[in-house]
Amino acid sequence: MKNRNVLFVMLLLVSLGLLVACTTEPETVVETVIEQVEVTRIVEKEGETVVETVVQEVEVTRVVEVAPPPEPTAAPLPETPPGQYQNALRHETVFFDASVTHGDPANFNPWILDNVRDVGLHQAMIEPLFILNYETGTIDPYLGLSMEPNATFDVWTLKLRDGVKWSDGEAFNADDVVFTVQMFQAAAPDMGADVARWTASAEKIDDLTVQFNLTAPNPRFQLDLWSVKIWGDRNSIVPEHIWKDYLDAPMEFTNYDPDKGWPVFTGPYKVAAFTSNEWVYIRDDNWWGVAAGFDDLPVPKRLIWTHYGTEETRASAAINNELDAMANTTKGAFEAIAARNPNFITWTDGLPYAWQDPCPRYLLINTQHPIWSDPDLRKAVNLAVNREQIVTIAYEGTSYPSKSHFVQYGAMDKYINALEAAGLAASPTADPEAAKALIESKGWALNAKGWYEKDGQVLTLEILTMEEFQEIRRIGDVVAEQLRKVGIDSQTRVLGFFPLLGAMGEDTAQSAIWFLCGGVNEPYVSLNSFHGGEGAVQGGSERWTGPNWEAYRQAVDLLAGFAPGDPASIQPTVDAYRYLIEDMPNIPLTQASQLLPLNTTYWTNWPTVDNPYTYPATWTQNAHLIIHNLQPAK
Amino acid sequence: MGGLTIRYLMRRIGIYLFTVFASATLVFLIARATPGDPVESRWRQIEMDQGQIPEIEAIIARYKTRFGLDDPLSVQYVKYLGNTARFDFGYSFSQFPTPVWRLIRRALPWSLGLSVTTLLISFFVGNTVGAIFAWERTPRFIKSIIPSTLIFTSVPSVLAALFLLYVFAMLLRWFPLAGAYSRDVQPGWNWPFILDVIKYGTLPVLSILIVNVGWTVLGMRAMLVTIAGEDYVRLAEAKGLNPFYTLYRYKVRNALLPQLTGLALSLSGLIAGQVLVETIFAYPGMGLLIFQGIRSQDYPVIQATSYMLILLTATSVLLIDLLYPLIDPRITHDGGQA
Amino acid sequence: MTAATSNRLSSTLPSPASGYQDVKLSFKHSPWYNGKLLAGASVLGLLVLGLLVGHSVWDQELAYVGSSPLNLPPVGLEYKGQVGTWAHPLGTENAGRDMLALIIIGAPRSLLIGFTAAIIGLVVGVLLGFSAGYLGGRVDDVVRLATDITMNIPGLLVLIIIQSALPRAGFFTMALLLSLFSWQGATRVFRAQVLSMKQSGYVLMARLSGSSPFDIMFKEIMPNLMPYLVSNLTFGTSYSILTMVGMEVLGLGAQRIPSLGVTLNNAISASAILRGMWWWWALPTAVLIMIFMCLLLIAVGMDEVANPRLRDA
Repeated sequence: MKNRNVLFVMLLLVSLGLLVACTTEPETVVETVIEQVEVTRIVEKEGETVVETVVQEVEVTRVVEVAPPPEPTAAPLPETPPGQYQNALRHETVFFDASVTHGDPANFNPWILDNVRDVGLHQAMIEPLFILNYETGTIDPYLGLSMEPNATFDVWTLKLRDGVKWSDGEAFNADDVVFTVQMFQAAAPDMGADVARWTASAEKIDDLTVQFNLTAPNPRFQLDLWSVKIWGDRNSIVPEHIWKDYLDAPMEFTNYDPDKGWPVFTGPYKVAAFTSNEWVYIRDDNWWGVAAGFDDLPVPKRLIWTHYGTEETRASAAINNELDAMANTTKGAFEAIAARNPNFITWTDGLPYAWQDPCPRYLLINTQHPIWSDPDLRKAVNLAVNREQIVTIAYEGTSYPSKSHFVQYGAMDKYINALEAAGLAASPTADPEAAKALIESKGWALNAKGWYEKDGQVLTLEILTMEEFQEIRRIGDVVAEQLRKVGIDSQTRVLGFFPLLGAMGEDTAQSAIWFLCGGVNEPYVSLNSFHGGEGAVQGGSERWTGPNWEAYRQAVDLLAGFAPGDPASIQPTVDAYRYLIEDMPNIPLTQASQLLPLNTTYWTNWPTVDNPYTYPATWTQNAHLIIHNLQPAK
Repeated sequence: MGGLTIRYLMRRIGIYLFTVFASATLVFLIARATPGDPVESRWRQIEMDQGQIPEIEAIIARYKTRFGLDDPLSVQYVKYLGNTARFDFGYSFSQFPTPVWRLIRRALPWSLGLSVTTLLISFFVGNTVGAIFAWERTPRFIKSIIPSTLIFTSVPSVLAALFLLYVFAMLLRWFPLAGAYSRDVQPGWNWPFILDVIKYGTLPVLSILIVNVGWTVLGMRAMLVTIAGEDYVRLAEAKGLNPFYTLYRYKVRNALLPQLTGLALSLSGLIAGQVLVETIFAYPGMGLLIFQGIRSQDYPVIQATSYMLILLTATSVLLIDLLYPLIDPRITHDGGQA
Repeated sequence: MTAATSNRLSSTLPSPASGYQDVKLSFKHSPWYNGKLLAGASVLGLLVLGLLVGHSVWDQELAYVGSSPLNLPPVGLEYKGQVGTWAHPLGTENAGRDMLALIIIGAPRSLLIGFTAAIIGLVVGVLLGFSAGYLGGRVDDVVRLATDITMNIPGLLVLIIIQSALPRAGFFTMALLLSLFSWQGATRVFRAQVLSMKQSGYVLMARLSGSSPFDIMFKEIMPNLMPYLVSNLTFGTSYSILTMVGMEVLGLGAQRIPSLGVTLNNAISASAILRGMWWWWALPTAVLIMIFMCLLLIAVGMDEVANPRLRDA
């Protein structure tokens, strides 16, 4: 009896011991070998430059067992012959991270809400008309050659590239574009809602030219409706000869029939196989681009998008070289991956590693709240916020402090520089003393507990954050702590996305950490978020009102008339932004971070900050450029 | 056979039907109790991933009408009950116009496979170990080892899954990380595919198993100990029968039947635990479907999958309850179970 | 793992009428003589004591974001160039929260939620079970129907859906939700026990002498059911904690209560295992397992008290 009890206690201890034992870091075998290396060096000998080759013994330390390097390249790598790309070898295949699974993976209709677009369909198959370049702000041609407006921006003429073919051999031409527009007009708002709204009619001028007659002037017609701006081109052109049979209910068309070779798009890959969590695409060697002289065939013969469960699983797959391009990853996971598989790189070499996502984070404040309706208090919050510290703690250093409400891409530089020159940019650090002085100037005094108090009311700021987004939760926690340091009794309240939207509509709501998916090459889209729309009585979730808001609306309306990136729009931007700063209904915090590990074991020439031919997101449609640029590793 | 009276049958089936009705109502009410609007919330969330969506108000309005969210609650409820009774769960919201039934048909076989395998293994292993545990002739050292297995009963299945994943898939790489079968095999009744499914299913099954088997062990032990005091067992032992024969013939066989009821009762816990485990292993069953439904706030999918799981549980319990008197002639079902 | 299984364990015990009076009359069979019970209770007691002491000694502000340096290992160890200090003896995680403070705040919360849920479930279960068994008739029918129906519904599943739909529940709501699925076991067991005891001599005596049902319940029947009560309570507690931790680890729990499950969820979503920050995930897991082991020991011990035959096996 007695020893049984002892046994139980022992077991308890043993189990704990086991736990601790299992926790030691998995070992990587490090072996040190002496290797003979031929060293070629250029030596200055008696005034002459001589090239000499010496055999040297070098001590080489290698990490063995984990991440075995690819076969030595002495012999040429084996190649999969055409027709068998389904079984392409590892070095001919690119593995991408799929962020989700799909209950119905056999539906290739691009307009399903949770569709399979970003697990390969729009990276490998649907080619866009135009792609926006985030660095230069230019709209680069793809299937389209050019799209030119008239002087009043209400007639646009689209020129298509010659020689483009659908994957079944039919020509891609103006008929397809006109058909697609008509399909959108019939099926809106389920598909092509904005095309239906802006396009009065689309006319075929000749096989490669389409003229769009707009319902109203729109300087952003090409950018917003027909280009890859963020994520993908929503209004993809579809082949008329297939979709015309489904015109009465295009949403119900699954666009999948392996016997007919569907889905049909123009891209250099075809669907080969799929399950709920994996999609396989193989190269189509008859791709139009070669014959048309547009581009060579991409090198990868097979593309696979796979969904792994948790981040630990993804990271583990990456270490095993079962992933080439990863979706957003935490810094800790990336460092763990890089330690075991040094072939992984990121956008920047070293901190912050991350590329900026187009949706910067900011703190929005309810300007109708009895306390926070005072702009000076909101300015005090702005002074108390330390953006660098948010980056250090909430992001562990993997992001950038925001200088304004805008994303900090090359194309936005001229606007942000102008704001900085005008003294309107946000400071990366805090000025707690100035914040306190500002609060005290409004009649608040510190109470015994160290909070500001006025007329028996404590200065509180409840910050709502989103349960689903750990990043936003962490920003909220840090901001709350920073505000507490200056005497504002700030707390965060975590809500699901769902209830959060409801809570923000309540009068008692004080503030929330929010995101602004605005313009990536012009300020108008971002600034328009606080405009409220035509006939609105207040702007945005901030419920901004008052004379400054009225003036701001007019300034933004003026901005709407400029073509994206027009240098003449810089001054109006500064003018509009000044009203925003004067009232400060919201406070920019940080850039959104995307830490995207990329594997150079089998593939090189990934986009990086030094080689920014495009941005490194592989779930967005610009991945066409990445796939075409990839080169096999030596 | 005589134990199965009409009165009992009616009552049992009545309970079953009422359970199904109550759970359908519960599932409906939970979905509607949500503050805020699932359609709008989902579209806003998509904006966060994909950038601003033009004309989003019009799209949201269209979806609300399409999913009948404009109707009064009572109308929605009656419609819902009628549709559910016919297994017509309507369209998935996030994958419109895919019918929910198509999603379930894809996921259900995987989940059923996991549950049945786990249940069978748990039943046989658990009862065998339980019997060894309770038998007087079992060597003492074995008896003292067994309680250590109970440690696993104290681990949530999610943690067990993570632990197995870490050790066997990440460190040792004996098993794959995620999914249900590999891309190299052709789904169908061929050996490579079946072997692949077993390989991919091992860790998920183990995760649920090691958490559940302990309870079967404990239950079996308690059962056997109780039976050991019965007169017929004492008589058998007094007759000097082979102890192993006594164990099997007089004890285990009698103890197994009540264990069967336990099996039915543990089913609901098993299935719920499986929801979590499938998520960890990205196993394409009902659990993952529910989890994805929750993530994308796809209410038709959440409603349908949870309703189906509850229906499955209730039906299995009903079957076991009805079969029970057929197997065990000692049980009669007329006057309640006092 | 579930209420159903815990109930199954208890319901396989023999009717107390046979071996029961022993417990009431003989001191030798006092629960304190059971080793498992003693071991479980004392370890749990020590744990709770430690947590209580920690509560008054350790600065709980350290459980908040940014209060400490990031990614510090436990004292004396080294991790990525940082050496653990006594200021943070168990290390810190990647948002600068002190692990010791997290455990001191988190463990009692997990325990308390589980315990509250179990108590609510038990009280409801006892009341219903007693009424059903003692009063019989219509009441009995309704209670049995309700029990049978709810036992068929997978509680965890429903909880997951509730969590996804409702605004994130607070402490008491959470406990209440958990208790929704933990009363059935108690109801069934108590109904059966009361039914069999109703016929036993001492209850009949009390009845004849005119005691009220209330008196009979609390003075005559209840004391005899004490071991069942405790066993049920411990099972209920560990079931509730298990359910909650399961949800929290997947990120479906109430995130603003820094319980052990939430800490684990943070650890998993930040790849603590791969990073080699074992203290981040192993310590909460160890504490959880310790709690479960103790509860299990108490429950098994209590079963042995109630069913003397189990002790010899």
